[in-house]
Amino acid sequence: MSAPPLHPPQRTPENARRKAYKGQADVNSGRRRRENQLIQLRKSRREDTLSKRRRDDASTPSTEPEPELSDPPSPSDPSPPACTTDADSNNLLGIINGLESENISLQLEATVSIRKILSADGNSLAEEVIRVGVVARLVELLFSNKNPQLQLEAAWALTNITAGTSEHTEVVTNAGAVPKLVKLLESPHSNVREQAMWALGNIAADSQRCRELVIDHGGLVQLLSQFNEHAKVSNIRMATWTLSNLCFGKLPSKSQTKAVLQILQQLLNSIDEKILSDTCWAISYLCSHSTDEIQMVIESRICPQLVKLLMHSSPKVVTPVMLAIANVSSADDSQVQCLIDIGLLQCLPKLLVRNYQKYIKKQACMTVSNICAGTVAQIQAIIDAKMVPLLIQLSQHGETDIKKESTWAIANATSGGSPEQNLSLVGDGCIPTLCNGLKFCDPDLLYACLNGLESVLKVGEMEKTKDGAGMNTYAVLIEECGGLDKLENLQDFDNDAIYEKTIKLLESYWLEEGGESEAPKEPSPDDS
Amino acid sequence: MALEVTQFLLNAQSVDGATRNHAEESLKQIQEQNLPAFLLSLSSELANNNKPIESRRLAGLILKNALDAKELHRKNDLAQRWLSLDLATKTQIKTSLLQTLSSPVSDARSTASQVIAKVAGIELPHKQWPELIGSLLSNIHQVETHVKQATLETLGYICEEVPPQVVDQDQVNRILTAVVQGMNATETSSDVRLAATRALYNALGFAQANFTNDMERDYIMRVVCEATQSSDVKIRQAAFECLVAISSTYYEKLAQYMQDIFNITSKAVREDEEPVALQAIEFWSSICDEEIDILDDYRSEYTGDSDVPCFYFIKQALPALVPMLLETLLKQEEDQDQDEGGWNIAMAGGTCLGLVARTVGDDIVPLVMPFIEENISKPDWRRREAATYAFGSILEGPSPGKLAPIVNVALNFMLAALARDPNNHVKDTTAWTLGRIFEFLHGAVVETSVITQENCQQILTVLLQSMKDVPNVAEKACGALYFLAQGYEDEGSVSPLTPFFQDIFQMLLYVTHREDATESNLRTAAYEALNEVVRCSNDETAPIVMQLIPVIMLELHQTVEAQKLTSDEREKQNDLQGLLCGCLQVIIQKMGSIEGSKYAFMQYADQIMDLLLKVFASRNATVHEEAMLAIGALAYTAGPNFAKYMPQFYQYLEMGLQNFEEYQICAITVGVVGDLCRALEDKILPYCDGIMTQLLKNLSSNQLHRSVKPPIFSCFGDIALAIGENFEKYLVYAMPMLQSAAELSAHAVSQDDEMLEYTNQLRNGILEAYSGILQGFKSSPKTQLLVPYAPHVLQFIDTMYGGREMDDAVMKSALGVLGDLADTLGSHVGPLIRDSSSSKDLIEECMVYDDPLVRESAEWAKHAINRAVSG
Repeated sequence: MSAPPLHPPQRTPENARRKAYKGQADVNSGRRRRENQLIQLRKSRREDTLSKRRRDDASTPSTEPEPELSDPPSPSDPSPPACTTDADSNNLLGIINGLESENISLQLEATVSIRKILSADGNSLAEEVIRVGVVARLVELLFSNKNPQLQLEAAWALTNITAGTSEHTEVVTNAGAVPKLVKLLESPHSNVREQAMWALGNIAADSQRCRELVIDHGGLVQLLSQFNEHAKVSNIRMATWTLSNLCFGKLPSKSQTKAVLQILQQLLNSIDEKILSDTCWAISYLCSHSTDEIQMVIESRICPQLVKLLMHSSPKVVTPVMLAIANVSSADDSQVQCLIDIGLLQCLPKLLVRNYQKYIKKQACMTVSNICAGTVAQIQAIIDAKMVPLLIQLSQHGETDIKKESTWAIANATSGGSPEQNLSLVGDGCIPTLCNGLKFCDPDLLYACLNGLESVLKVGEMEKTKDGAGMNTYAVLIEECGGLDKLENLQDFDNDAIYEKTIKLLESYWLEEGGESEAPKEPSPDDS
Repeated sequence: MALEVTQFLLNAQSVDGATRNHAEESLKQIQEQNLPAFLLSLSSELANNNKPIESRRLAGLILKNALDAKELHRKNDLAQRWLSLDLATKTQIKTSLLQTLSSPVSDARSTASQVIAKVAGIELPHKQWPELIGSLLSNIHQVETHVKQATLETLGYICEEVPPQVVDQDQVNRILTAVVQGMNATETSSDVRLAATRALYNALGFAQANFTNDMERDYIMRVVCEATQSSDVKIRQAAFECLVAISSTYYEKLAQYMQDIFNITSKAVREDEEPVALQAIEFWSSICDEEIDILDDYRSEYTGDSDVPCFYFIKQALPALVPMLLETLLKQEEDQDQDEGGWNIAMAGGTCLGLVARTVGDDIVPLVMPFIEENISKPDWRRREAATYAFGSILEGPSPGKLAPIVNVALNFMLAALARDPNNHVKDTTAWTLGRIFEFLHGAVVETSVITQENCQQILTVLLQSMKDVPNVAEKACGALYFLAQGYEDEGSVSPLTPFFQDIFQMLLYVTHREDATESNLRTAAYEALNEVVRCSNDETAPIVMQLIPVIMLELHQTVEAQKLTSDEREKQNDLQGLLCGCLQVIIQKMGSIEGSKYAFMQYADQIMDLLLKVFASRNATVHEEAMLAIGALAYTAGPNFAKYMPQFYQYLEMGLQNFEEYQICAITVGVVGDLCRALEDKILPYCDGIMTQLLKNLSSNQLHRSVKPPIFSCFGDIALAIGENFEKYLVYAMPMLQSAAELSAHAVSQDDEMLEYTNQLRNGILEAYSGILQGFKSSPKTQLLVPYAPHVLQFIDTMYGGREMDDAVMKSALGVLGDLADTLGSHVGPLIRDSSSSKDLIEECMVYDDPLVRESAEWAKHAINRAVSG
């Protein structure tokens, strides 16, 4: 053993860089990759084993809502298939033969088998079923008016296929399923109608092209006729869900939108959580298209009920309601005013303080910030609703998204507020929020905060002349909470508008200080 | 009562083996008999200027090793041991150490510096030795420069050893003042200045407050920048190292200095000696690292924004930075690609250029293209290589849309250069560039690949041909093939590689057999490429992959049979075994996943298993890991048939679980236990006593690396799922273990992301255990055995949910456990679940998750709970 002189520690990251040079082959990284593949595989097998066990019980309902089959004829076996998938694929040939046969009971048996295969194990088998070309045959079977059970099973099988990838859905639509499924909405059997709606809902969920396809074939009209006093709750649920999927894209005509809104307005009074939730999703989709549609939503007088639902106990309802309202709040001032008039501002603070999910809170904040971007009166409404302290608190302690949104709200309120409002905002502590806002990197938000600060500084300038102390106390406040440093840093920000605004603020309110702080100063030239 | 140890210390360094062993033995004995006296002797040996430097140096080394070790648990033991020594001894040792700093012998001083730092590392966090910093700082005003130098060095090491929060701001200020004064240009001794500059490097982490203060920061920056202009190259290098460290620690404070730093660095890159120039380039690479991180943060919507804003320094410097980097590319060394440890300006410059491209994206392309066009066909190989390297460097970052038209034009040129350029260096870089093209402009990530059915054949011909070239070029060709194949991994049944599988395998196997395959990592690259091609095989090519199996097995067999190897040969053998096992793993996995080939594959299973068992005879950790992974894959493919291998395999499984030292093996083995559970189901029962005993032992050990513990909990779940109610006898051991871990992890306060991630992994493991146990007992008459544990499980979930720091995976697992409780225990726990504070909210929250699978399980859990409540 010889004692080497002790060496100072390795200082440079040279080794790491050298390793990265020309990405040389490395045994260890290869092994880690293999290990990770095995770990991934392990994870998914573990989940498979668990989920098999979890379903391994006849009394456990399957996770997909199976249509209720109370109408005759009733199916022989409503529980999920117990047979293994291997057996299924071996049986596939026999099933196809049954499907193609003229014997109705063979057809039914084969269709049931197909449907079970499809609901048993996801996509790999769907591929196989599609590959062997049974889709066209299933579509034909939808026409077996004399045998509603067969129609049901065929529609069910198609539903399962449309639950797969876009390619799967395309196979179904290309086989001409849409007009036939629409036709089935006239079936006297409610379970058949329900299954057809489900399939159409899946198809509509796929793409705008698919939605248009369904609407072009009269799907929307037929669907709206499902909402009548004789309909079962399960049918209404399904119809609402399908309708919400159709509303995801812009509807082709105003009259259609109007008709849909009429139904939605009625549905908003439902006590069924699922129906309510899907209704609200539909409304939120409609509100996301254009201000024209928002105007129609407002005119259909569903907003009051919508605002009431903000206080619903289930997040499944509150989430879409909040989204719809947030969408409306992004429209023009008069539309926003409608929301204020019906008491939105009494509900929003509750959403912000209670332990709601982040998404809901974020949308609520966004709504507030949209309102703050409105008129002076609208800003006053926010102040009157005592929301400012709340927003300031969220801007300091909320999750990042919430911080950002509440900062937006404060920035909007200060930028657009009257001098009196700004006095009150500063009193509530908006300066630290605006200064902290300067560390965000979203240039729009940055600019908004700069605008807010400018507005506040102007008021500070006016106050200065009033009390004659010769100090812009707001400039001092900004400096104290680190805002000046942040402004100085912003001079290097790569955005002209922000750069210019920053320079303007610095030059107008700080630069000349120090040397001639006693001298009275004119506010910046473009002040009016 | 210092003992005389000089002679032992000298003998311990003797060339004569017997003398050396005897001395080492004696030293060990003294240490064991009387540790305080031994440490005392060592410190006075080190302090004694009349002793030979050899014995003093070794005394310091042994002293240092008595205070610190690499493994965490040993490090803690040593710290405890030191703290428990009596005060008088410790004081005496510390006095000797501080005394040594004034020794005229520089080696002794430097050794003492490091030992002092180790003692400080133990004592300062316990608020002991409060006078240390003060007494060191009083040395600074000494006239003798060597004392000053040693003191600054010591301060530097202390800053490296001690966490910043341990030193109060007042002391930090004084340390920094002393250090920065020592760096000042007015300091006449370059030894002092160098020591101060190096000390600053370590002290930067302490300077958080000082860097927020404009005046102090300005001062520090000025002194550092001045030091980069010193006449002493070592000082210049150390000063640039400080700049590099500042660039990552204080990125957001740099704006006002960037212009100056650019001037300093670009002068250094162009004119200074290599070690300095390398650091100057590193400064820019480091800025790129920062900006890439920040911009990544911006892009990931959910993690929110980075706390630090991006100042776009690189974008602003681009027009001047890129030409400077391009110049460096022309400073290649003749044989740099064969020299595995080499690092020079050209390599650093190209690396930086690559980072710049990743930082600014498309903007870099027009700045680099003229350089490429001008130089790529020049007669001087340096120019051709530099142009190619520049091209390869900018392929990551800019958008495929921007690059594709250029690459489409360049591809043929590159292929021709790889086939025919007379210079190896150019060919090496060309092959690497092709690999980068395939990596970034081909495969699922890009809309339209630059590879077409038509040019694929030509590409393959050139790549395969180049695999016969010199090792470094062949290695790059293998790497390029790797990325080419990777692009087809997700493709369905039509892959343009299909017709060439046979040729590809043949050539890659040829490469692995090359005499010079151990140079430039060639063999590894060939096997990695082979694995990747196997991964992208399909129904059609599976039979060709199948033919590989006997070939690989034969090779593995030969390595197992090889006898009497030199240690060098043994090492190569180990590497090869590891690669072959890895290759088998990939083949097993792939063949097992293709329905049609699984059956055909299984005929080899016996032989493969036989071979893998023999591989365990090797004592090499890597080989064990690889063999274990292959066995995990085999278990999946074999299913219940794996049972017949268990009697022979079990001993190695146990060995793996006991391997605390090489914890990676332990972790992999724990995973394999899970694989076996799923493959064997209840046939694993006979082995469970042994496995469970070992796993429980592992959990209670504080020597085992913590990362292995979460998978052990998950493994409990796997075992319970496999053996069902037979898990009963382990409940009394496993449940308390789970409970106390749950308790800990539910209340864990995570200071940093790493800790948070670990806590969530642990929680997930615990929840997976609960799910497995609950579902394992489902429908058994013994379910009531689990009822007493239910309140605790619910409380665990309540606490976590209340704490709001669960990640999605934990949320999902917790949801599952809620359902499992209801599903297995039914009405026994229905009211309990209903009344739990979190269950309803948690399920509701999951109902609106984006992931449909989560929504589905939420639906399921809700049903199960409703039934449990009503039933």
